[in-house]
Amino acid sequence: MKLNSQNIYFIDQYLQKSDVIFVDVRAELTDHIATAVEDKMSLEDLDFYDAFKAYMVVHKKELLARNNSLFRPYLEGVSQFFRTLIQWYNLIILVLLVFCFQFLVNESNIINLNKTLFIAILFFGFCNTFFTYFVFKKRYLFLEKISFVLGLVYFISLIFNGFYDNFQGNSLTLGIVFFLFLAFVIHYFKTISQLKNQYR
Amino acid sequence: MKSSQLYKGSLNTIIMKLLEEQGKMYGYEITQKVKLLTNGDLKITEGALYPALHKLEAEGWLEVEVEKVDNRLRKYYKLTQTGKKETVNRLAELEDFIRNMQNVVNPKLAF
Repeated sequence: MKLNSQNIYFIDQYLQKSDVIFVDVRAELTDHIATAVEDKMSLEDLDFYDAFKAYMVVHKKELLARNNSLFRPYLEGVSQFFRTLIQWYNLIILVLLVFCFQFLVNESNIINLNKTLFIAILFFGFCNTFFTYFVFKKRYLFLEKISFVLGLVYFISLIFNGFYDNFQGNSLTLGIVFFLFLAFVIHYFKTISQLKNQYR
Repeated sequence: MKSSQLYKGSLNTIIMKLLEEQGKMYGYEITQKVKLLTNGDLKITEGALYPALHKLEAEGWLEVEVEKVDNRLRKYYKLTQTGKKETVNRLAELEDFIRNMQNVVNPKLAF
């Protein structure tokens, strides 16, 4: 027995009211519950609401467990990002960047580069938040996981290179942060295009 | 999931083995397949399954494909190329573990 679109909408709304705010998490849970409810309706000859109630009484806590785990998904996002960096060519890019900053760019330009990088990180974070909340008006865990990575890049920049107008780093630290930011931007747009294909 | 550390430690390998055999599967399908294969003895709970799937995805062993099925989106998981290699290693490791346990628990049946 297959559920109709109203039944699916009911499950989605139920999850939304249970604080499952992310579209991608909700889609996966909706499918899980819908399939289980369909099985229950066929096996036990129940109508949708009885089957749904009977299923949720037993499984709600387990289903929402991941939704309630705060840091784990974000740490997975960080691990996913750093795994994309494990490529031989990334080492070459990093060495080239550090080489350029060390030998081809003078000190005042290094300071200006740090300012630009600092602003670029903040601007990227601002744009991402703006698009999520005011343009898409939908939140995806997948996307927020990588935004957490941007926060990490920002703090790495702050620790190694100092604040916007107070550069405390060197060509190596600037090269590393520059490299991380570039890698992040690539990872970000790859993720967006993946999301667009998956949830179009 | 059956409350045993032995099963918990093998959950990722079980998932990867199933995906190796079936090609691609979705969450509910995995729970039902495991239940069927173990005659209902091993029940994977949602609270254990999804974190395991997402962790395997983050590690790069699994990739995701989303399809529209019966008025809803369905997320299928399948092994990546590196995931396929990892499955072979994990299964070999699990077989070694079972063999060693067999030697310890019941030496007469050891092979």
